[in-house]
Amino acid sequence: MKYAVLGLGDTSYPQFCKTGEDVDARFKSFGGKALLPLRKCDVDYEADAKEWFDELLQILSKPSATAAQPVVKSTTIAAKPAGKKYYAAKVVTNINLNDRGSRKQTFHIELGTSEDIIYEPGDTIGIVPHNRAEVVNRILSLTGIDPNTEIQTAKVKASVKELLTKHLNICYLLSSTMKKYAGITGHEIPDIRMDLVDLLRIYPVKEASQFVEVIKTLLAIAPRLYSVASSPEAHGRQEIHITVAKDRFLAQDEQRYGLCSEFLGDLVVGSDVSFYVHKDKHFKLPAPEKDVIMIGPGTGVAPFRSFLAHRDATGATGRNWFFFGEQLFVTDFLYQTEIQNFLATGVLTRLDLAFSRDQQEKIYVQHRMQKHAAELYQWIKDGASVFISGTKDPMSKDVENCLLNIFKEQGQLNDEEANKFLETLRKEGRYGKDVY
Amino acid sequence: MSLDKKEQLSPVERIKTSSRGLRGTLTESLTDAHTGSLRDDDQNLLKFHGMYQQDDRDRREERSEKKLEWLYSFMIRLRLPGGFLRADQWLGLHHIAGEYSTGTIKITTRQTVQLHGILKSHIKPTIQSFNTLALDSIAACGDVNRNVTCSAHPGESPVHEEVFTYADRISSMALPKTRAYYEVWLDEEKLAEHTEEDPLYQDRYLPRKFKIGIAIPPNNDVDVLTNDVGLIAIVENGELVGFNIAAGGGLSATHGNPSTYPRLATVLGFVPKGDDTLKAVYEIMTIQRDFGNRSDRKLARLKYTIDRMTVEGLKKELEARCGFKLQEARHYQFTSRRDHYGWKQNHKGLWYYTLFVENGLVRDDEKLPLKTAMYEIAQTGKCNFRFSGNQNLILADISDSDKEAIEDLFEKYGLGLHNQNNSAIRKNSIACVAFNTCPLALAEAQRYLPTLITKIEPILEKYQLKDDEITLRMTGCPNGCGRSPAAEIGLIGTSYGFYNLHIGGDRNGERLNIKYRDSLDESGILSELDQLLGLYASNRKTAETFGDFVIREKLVS
Repeated sequence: MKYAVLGLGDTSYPQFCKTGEDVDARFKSFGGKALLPLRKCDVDYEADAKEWFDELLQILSKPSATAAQPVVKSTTIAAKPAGKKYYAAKVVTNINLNDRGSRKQTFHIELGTSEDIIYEPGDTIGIVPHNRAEVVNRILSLTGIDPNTEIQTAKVKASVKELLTKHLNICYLLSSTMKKYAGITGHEIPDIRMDLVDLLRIYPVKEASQFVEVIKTLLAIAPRLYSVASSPEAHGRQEIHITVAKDRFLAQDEQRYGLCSEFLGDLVVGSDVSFYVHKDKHFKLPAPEKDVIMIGPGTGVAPFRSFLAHRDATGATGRNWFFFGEQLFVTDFLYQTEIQNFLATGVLTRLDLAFSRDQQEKIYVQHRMQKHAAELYQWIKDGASVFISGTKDPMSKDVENCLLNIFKEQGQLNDEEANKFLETLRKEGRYGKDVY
Repeated sequence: MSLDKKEQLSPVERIKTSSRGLRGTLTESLTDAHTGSLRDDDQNLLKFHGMYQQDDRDRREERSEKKLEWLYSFMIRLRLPGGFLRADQWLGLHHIAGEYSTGTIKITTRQTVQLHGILKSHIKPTIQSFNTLALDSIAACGDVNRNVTCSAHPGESPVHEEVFTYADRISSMALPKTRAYYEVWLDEEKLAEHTEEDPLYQDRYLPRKFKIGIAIPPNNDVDVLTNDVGLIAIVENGELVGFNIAAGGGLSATHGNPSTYPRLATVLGFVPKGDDTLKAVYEIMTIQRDFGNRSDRKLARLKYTIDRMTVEGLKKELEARCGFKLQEARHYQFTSRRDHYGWKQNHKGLWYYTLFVENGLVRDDEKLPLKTAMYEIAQTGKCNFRFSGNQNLILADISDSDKEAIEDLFEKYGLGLHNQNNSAIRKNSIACVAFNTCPLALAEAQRYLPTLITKIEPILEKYQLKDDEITLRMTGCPNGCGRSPAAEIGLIGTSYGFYNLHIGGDRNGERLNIKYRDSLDESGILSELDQLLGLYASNRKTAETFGDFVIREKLVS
């Protein structure tokens, strides 16, 4: 058996393309013959994938490799654009939506372009963040390398400073990258992931030329995806909005910051940003007369702002029910005045709010859903689509469980039947999730 | 017959009459989770329940940029006729303030207290907490009789106790009959199908606010003539015989509207004490109810009704409604309007300590932990708490044996020299709240006057006037809630940072001041005062007040 594996993954995960590795290994264990070595792709996969396809087709079109296999015309694939379309944009607006006294910072960012952006409500955009200037400068001083040194990497030729700032991932390096570093520098390095700056500090390079080799082992900065918060019909085609929460988290007992959320939150009006549109087929508004139920606490509000703005601008007649949750009413009611306007104009038919820290007991969106179980179920029976947007764990799981419970109670269904019902909705395109 | 434009009722009238006894949609407004505001009409009705909807004006622009609505909060004002709280009530107030409000207990210019910064979702718990202390806020605001004031110094007169009972009696007499307050905030069950009968207020209440004050000469600490109805206690041979009754006081005006102006009440005559007094007060209210202007709220106060009816006309109607004639006014004299700080003992041997509280703000700051001090004093249970017309605190009814314990606490908190350490002019000043919560404020008052006084003090020093009890009042707008037209020096805000300077009021509250200069900024105010005070120091007659001096010398007219 002959095979080739193209793995699609994300370098921000600890086990990059593990599935691809496993599948490749499995084929090998059956005695399969690899036509090509395993090709691993990051989120930014199009260019790598195209190369892999081209290589594979080359091999398959050679008589010795193909035997009776039909040749797939390469022209149809070659017609696809190499890589994705990046839009050049400038930051038009960047406001922290949370009020003073909030524990959070959530930025409403508007990007303006000079060409029309092809997108729809429900899509996401990918942005490649820049690395922090202080960190890049520290790396440069630790290595002693001249920042203007031009280096050719697999993808681009640019100065070291530009490579480190805009192109290469220097945070939380992969184990494989760490091993290559150990090989180049001769250090013994334990099997833990580290930022490049810490690596250079603790296990320094012997000289600048070693660092040039290190640079060539670094992978591209992975783009981060953000749900679009605007609608072309409401906001025009040369503008796109996103809602970005500054991400602060603990990793290995250390306070860490989300690279992209910090990068975006700090952007001043007028800065240049490039982004691409990532279409999402499964998170789309139904027909205008259909009802929509949206559950989107925190930054989960973003695609629903897009949905509501779209339905408002297009005069869609379907009813809309929005469940929103956050910590405190006074400081964290994201897009409050816009939501109040949607209520006033009638676009938003029902609004339920859950501010978890406004009272002794924690109240979340699922509690509001449960409170209106009968009506929620009726909407769904009458054809409403249901969307969940926001944090994957635990929110989306809790919300999904709540939906299942509501189906069981209101529809007198057992576990299996409730799950089936949800699955049916999903197949019909009436149940979508945009969770992270 | 259709109403012509002139007779069209103010929109507020419709809100009142269609409110089903002041219930409106208050309960529904409280469940509007998407906003911290009440529905429009309910914002109006809320006043009758003793609260105002406010917002932090300093934050408006930034909130708007963040796509957040205005930072709404509520102010609640208690109904405390004559300004009296027991120690246990003060303790409760302290806790409620800490839990639901900004924490500051604000003593008002009408002898009650108010709390700011309460969120909509906390209004009910706040009112329910006050209810457990037998306190309510009914009719503290709105087109009704407001908090009844009464001379606050029990140490000064043997008839104080008796006169004080009138504050409570009038307050009760003039309370709205609706159960709305109890239903909306205290979850009382609605028993009646129809709204309650209210012979005094009917369903339209009064055309405007109504203020009643009681003074015991010779002290006019309540500024009795600034009220719609002022009762001046007449004491003969140590006995209370009755009251001179005055009507038509009211200080508000609108910049640029010459039909509006401040007025001091006119004494109509004398009524014997008891039912006749209550009857007379009641019927002045019914006259105002029936004849007051309900089309233009700027011309709705009793003073304008009297303009139309004339004083004689009012007297005639009053006597007709009362069924008795007013006697000729008896002699009385006011010799002061200030609080008498420090210890005073009454005829029964009980002690009273009047403590200066700048702008009535009871709070803890780096210089003085006043709120904590008052809490600990209340914990002793050895005194009651009274509020004066000058926004000060009186620790009252202290027995001789308990006096030392209170003094020890003064020592502990550095209050011993507090009164003496504040200048005369500071102790005789009043500022209204203005920013950041009053929606009508054009300029700062409470947040600025203390600083301005610090700059005026050196000028007074320079002219050896630092002990002169000059009355100085600042308001952020011409509504006059801080009684600025009734002071020797009045500063009335015109726009942010600018004030009209008024001079020539008398010291005791019997003559209003007159505008001297328009729209001065701080340096303008200081230089004008420097000039005027210099002239005063050089040319005054013996014991002549600053206000009398500028009138005599015709510096203003």
